[in-house]
Amino acid sequence: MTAKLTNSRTYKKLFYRLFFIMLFCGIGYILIYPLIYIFTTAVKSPADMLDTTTVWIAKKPTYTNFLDAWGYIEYIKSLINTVMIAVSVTVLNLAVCSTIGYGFARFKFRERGLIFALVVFTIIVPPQVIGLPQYIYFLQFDIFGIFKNTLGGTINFNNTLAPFILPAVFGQGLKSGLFIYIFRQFYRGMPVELEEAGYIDGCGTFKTYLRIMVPSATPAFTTVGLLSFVWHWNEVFNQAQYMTNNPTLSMRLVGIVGYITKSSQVTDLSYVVPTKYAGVALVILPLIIVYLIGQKFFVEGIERSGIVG
Amino acid sequence: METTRRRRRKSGLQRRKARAGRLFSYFWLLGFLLFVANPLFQSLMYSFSKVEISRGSVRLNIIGLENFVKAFTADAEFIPMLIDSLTVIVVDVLLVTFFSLFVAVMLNKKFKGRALLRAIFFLPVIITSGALVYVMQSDVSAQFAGASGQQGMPMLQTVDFKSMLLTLTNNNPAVSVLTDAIDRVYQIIWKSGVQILLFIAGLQAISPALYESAEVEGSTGWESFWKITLPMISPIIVINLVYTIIDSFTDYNNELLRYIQEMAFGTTLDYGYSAALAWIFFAIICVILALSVGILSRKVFYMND
Repeated sequence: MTAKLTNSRTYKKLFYRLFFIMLFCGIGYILIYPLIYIFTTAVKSPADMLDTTTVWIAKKPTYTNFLDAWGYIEYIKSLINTVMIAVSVTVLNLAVCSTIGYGFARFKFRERGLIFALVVFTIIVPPQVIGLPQYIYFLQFDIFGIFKNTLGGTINFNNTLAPFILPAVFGQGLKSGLFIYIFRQFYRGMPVELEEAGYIDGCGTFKTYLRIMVPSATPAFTTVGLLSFVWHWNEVFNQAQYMTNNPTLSMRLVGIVGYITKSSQVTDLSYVVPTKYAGVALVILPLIIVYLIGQKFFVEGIERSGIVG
Repeated sequence: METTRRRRRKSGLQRRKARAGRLFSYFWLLGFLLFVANPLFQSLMYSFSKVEISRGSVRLNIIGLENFVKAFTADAEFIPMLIDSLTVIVVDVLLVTFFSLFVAVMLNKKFKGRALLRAIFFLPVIITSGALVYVMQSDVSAQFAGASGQQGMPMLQTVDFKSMLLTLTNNNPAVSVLTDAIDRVYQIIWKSGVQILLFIAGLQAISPALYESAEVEGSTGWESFWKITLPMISPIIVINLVYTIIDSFTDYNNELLRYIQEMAFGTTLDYGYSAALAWIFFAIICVILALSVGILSRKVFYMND
């Protein structure tokens, strides 16, 4: 009798495991499909594109697509610009948004709700809507007429990193409002006893924050860092607006079809499409490599912080 | 005497804490005034005007509420698009939240190949953001539009499967209902990337000590989920709700947003009307956000309050 019972239990367990393996294989396939599509299309030659019997694996694979895409994108120059934007803004976001989020999470003051409502409001506003006025603002940058009076003119920030970095310093960058919100939710969920221990040991507000709260919020930091990095890597609207003569990866990727058809006079889709996907592969490859290298570190960092509470 | 002194000391600490909080948030407010407030105000002014743009300068002719009146009375496309967007969002928010919480709980367990699976679930975050969506959408949809008759990112949809089913069943209308439901599943999976990431981070911030003590008390995994995981993760549910709502409104696939952009930069170049549509849209999102967060935040459990 008992033997039968344990038997049915192991069957049940086996069934559940099988079910989850199948489910995650299915979902995994859906998610990985575009990636396979990108990389297999990128190596196809025009002959493969026209050959209806070639579905995934190219019969006459070619690497020249990558060389062409590399040239069109001006890869090294664009990569440097993109890395500079993504890294600097991400570091600023982590430092500034976490501190501001902590302020909203832990300290009570009368106008807190109102200011926080403004923060949420800035998330809703798509960059396209305030794009034009903000562009003009950075073209003739001035703070309350100070520069005009002292330097005798306004500053033109076109083609510099200032339109990305300056707002981020004050927690006003792309989706910074969302990051502030994420940090606030994490800090609010943490036990208040953690900080009280810090206060009792004689730490000030900032020291308690840096020494106790920041290490406990590692999961929030890795998540926000990841999101901020990827979103700035792929962001195109602001970059196209401010970096007109200074290419970035996402800008060149968006315009790649135009570049190919204009510069080589080729409009043949069997050449344009694989070259475009070679460009896509070149742009996302660094992201994937960074993620795979960083993964171990992220997971470890997250698990070490499990001491909360 | 003793009590008054104690009260004063307490309020002194509170005042000090209030001062620190003000310092943090006023810093943000300063940035808001420097970089966002002015463009935002300008955009609001645009919505009340006829905008003329000529090389680097913008001229406004104030026309009052005309743009807003036009949106609700003269524009045949705006209202249906708005209603469409609103219904999509309600369905999306519910499905995405359930799906991403489920996946995150699964991915938080220890098993072989977890790192690989997490990397795979990170892919949507990369692929559905910014330039990549734009590039992949622009050509693949041109290629497949004739075959499937559908807009959007065909790589993420049941294109070949659908055409196969339709030919097999001789264009049975019931099939398209079925495949639409499947398309929805595909979209939900693709839209859940960020939410899964946030849920995983939230799950990892829960102290293992809670689960250990629950286990000692004899609670099952199912009970632990309802009594520990769900309350502890509820702040993250709120942020995911907010994110999902905002994401589907500011999504590239959102036809209303594309319409707004088209009004400004397309053939019409009516920046003022575009701004008016955008502000109507904001107002509605704000109301939805306020309502849903307001309802949910009563149920949210914060460890300290």
